[in-house]
Amino acid sequence: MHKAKSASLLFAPNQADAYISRSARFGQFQADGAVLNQQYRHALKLVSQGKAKALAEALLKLELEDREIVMGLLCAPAGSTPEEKKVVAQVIAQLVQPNKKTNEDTRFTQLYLLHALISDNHQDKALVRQLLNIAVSLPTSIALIERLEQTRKRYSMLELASKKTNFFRQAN
Amino acid sequence: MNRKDVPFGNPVVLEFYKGIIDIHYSQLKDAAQDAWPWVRMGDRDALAQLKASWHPELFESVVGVLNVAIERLRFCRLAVNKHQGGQLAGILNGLDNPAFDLVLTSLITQPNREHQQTLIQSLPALDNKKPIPGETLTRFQYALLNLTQYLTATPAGKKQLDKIAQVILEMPRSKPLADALNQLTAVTKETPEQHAFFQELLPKWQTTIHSRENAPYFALLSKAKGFLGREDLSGFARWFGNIKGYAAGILTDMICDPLYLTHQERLQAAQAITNLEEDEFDPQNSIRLYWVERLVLQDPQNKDLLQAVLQQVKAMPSSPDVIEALTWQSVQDEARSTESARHFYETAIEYHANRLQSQA
Repeated sequence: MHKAKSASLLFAPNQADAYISRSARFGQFQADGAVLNQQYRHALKLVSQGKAKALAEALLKLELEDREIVMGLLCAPAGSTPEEKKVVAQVIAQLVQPNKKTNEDTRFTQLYLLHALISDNHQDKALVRQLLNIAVSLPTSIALIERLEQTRKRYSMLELASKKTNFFRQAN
Repeated sequence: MNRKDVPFGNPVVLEFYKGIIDIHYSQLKDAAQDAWPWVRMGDRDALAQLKASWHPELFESVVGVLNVAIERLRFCRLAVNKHQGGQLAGILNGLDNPAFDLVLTSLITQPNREHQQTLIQSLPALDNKKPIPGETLTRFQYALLNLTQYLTATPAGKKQLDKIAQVILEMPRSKPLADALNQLTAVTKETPEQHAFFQELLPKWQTTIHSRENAPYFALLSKAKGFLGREDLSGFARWFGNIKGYAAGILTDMICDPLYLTHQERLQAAQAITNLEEDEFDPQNSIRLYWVERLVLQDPQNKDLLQAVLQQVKAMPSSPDVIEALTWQSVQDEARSTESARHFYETAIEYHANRLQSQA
């Protein structure tokens, strides 16, 4: 769970602002947390039953921010089992309506979730193939390509920063 | 002394991104090429058909690409009218693929020869540092490949090919340029006439080293070889310390490049590292560490050389700056792809980290 929140902070700057303002209003945060926890449990139940379409439909009724948090929790290592993650990937693919111009934020949410899955589960070959197919089937656009390049670069720099931090920690 | 922006992270994740970026780039490029003739002819019906058959996000992006290409072509014409090759290169370097692809094709296939002429003049200033996203070639290689492909298939193209050869022969020698030409020689194997052009060009380029523009650098190189040949390392360091700025950078690249110096001479160059004078006003931008980078990364398989450089690196005072610089060097592609280079950096970093720890 903690991992999902930190990933959210790292990969979605707007989300980070929202999170900070929520923390300031702690009472509201607790209330939101309880609702989100309930939504996550409901989502997990649908995932464990393999009901990707039903979950996608339910998620599309939520605010984008809440949708991202619930899905972020499902994508986190402890948020669902490896088998359930394959259903989560199907949900990601169904988070937009096909052949319709999609709001850029929604498209970016899809990419953020794909990243959350691939970065923690790259050893699962079947899941990687599934995610690759989803990413390739997204409609080509300049914004999509730019976002992919940014995410790749940011991932790379964060990995380097993490390696260097560990290195200096060991050296000192 | 630029530090390259190198990818770092899990290879599966990096490959995942590279794969999908390449696929989407090539889809965008193909779509833009399909729409390009209809836009230039102003055929609204054909465009309406494309719009109906494509996803709205793709269509919007293609329109964006074509608008940029049309606008930049106008600037290109201005550069062509003034025969400004450098200006044309600036415009081409600033374009994203696939707009670059469309503009380049337009310049190459224009019936007006002025376009090709200026494009040929622009070649030395085209980017040859990193591949175009979605392609394996740099802008320089891509332009050279497409130009030569078009000209070898054109009856009157021979004269233009000679002009290209002349421009290439005048370009400063460097390993990246040698690599670029070698790669083009390899990728043109299926097209015999084009392949023959590169096969003839490469040895000429390797031997014709005294071009007008590069004569001063080769004079300096010859002097450097003199010092290193006599094993006069302190004399060499004193002499090198008087060469400043851009010339010092170019000369370092040449001295460390296996293209110009023998193995023995480069071993001497490695021994000279400790004697090199650091710039007291810019200690971060260490000259010695730049020599280390060039010597290791330009010939990472050369174990003897790496061993000689390692002795010099170990002699440097340990500091977080040294460790940081070595870490940056160690994540570059050339360093990561060769076992001996990987070992070199692991050893060097570990050595300084341990020494720093014991001093703390």
